[in-house]
Amino acid sequence: MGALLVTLDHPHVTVSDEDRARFEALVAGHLDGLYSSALRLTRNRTAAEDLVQDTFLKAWRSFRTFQAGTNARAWLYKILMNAYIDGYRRSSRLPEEVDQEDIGDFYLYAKAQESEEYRKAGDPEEILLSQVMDADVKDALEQVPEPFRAAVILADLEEFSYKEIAEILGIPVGTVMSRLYRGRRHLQRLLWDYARRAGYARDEIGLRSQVPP
Amino acid sequence: MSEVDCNVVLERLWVFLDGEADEALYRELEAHIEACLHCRNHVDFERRLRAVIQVKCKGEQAPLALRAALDRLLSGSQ
Ligand SMILES: [Zn+2]
Repeated sequence: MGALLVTLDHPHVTVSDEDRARFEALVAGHLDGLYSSALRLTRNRTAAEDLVQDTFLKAWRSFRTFQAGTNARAWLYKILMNAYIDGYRRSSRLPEEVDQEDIGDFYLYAKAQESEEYRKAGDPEEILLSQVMDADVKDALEQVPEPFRAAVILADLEEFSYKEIAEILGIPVGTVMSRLYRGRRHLQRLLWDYARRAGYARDEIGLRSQVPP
Repeated sequence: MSEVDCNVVLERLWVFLDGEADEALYRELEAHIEACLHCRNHVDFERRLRAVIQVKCKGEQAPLALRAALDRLLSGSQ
């Protein structure tokens, strides 16, 4: 995998040391973030590593067109998302979607509020949040179908603005919002199941007393 | 002066939490939320939930092989 990079016929024949240093500073600082996002997108360490490597290779090739002073992080994520969409997404066809419009935007909070069991045990929101903390949130996020997951990753993990996400994904802001909100509805629905499971597991190993009174 | 009640807060909550409400709307929502225990609880829950999601899903460390590949790319190009 790595050997590929060294043998590639590189277009930058007259690249300066200064370019190299600038590029290195720019990419090295975002490497962990890019890798985290790549992992949540591809759900696989090898694929994530390939995707990030592909990203900085493409970034290096187009570095000359990159204008100093523009949003470097958004530029890198745009390259990452394009590479992901081009080569890593298993199918370009959108999955048949079960519309979760009917569950409302704030499923978890509604569940906490209406749960008799949580109310009896004390502070419902507190209990639910501690169960989410114990749950496999990464796995839940990775179950959110595309293209909704990408929007959630960019907004909720990377904290890009709607406008930046629109630019990164090449879609209108209105589409960003609808993908993001649908992705969040999916995630909340999944987190409820995951949190419940984590709660049962904790009860079984006798740690019930750690739930705040 | 428009009427911001609990339903309006609920409708605009993502926009509010995402910092995407324009200033006038943001101030109206914020004023209601500060005064309304019900909405304040909800906002607090969603903020904490998002923080949990971030803590659990971010913070992966790029493998050393990836840093090495970056170094090779930069030292390999003349
Ligand atoms: Zn209210």
